[in-house]
Amino acid sequence: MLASWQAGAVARSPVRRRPPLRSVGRDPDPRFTLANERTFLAWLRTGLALLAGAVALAGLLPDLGPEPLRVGVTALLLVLAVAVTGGAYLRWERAERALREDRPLLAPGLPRLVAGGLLVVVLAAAALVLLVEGR
Amino acid sequence: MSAPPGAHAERTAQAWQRTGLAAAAVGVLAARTLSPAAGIALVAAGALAAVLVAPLRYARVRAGGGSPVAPGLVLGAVLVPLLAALALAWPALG
Repeated sequence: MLASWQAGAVARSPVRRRPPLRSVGRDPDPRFTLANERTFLAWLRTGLALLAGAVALAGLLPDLGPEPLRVGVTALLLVLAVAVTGGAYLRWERAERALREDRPLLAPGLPRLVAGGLLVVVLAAAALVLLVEGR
Repeated sequence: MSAPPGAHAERTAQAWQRTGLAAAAVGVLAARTLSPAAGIALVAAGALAAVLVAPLRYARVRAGGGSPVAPGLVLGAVLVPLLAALALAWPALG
């Protein structure tokens, strides 16, 4: 009775609710869970480093180079920081599910995004420095 | 290949500690430049992770018993830098 009501609610719900993490599969080796948690924290620190870059550029170097370029780099750093931080959670969640269900782990979407974004940031920052030095 | 007992708990606690310290460092920078309120909040959250979450996590993992997965803690940890980035976006870009 309760189960069929729940099934109906799930079917009608516009957002597909996934079952809670602890209810799927079975508990993996605790070491895998902890390694997944540390990977999540490492991504979080990557996001914090990107945030630090944005804060440093906007707060410590408010007059560096042409304004549109500087603001563009700051905005890109902020967007990357948010994407990496949000992506850290999604990756943690998916990896934990995969561990519990004994499925293969993840595609390298987030590392590629970070590498591509950082390439743009580095090129733009180099342009910024060259413009300032060249004057 | 086997780590000594407690190594996993220790490594995980250290990861929380490092992350908390990193958040606090970014918070100090933000507090002194863009936004005192957002910076101080980030310092407080980072300090909480480093001095409270890390040792509690160590104790929990050492105690064993069931999976050590902590979805609430992970969700809380992700919200802090996310909210900080959104709070700092306005002064950083304005």
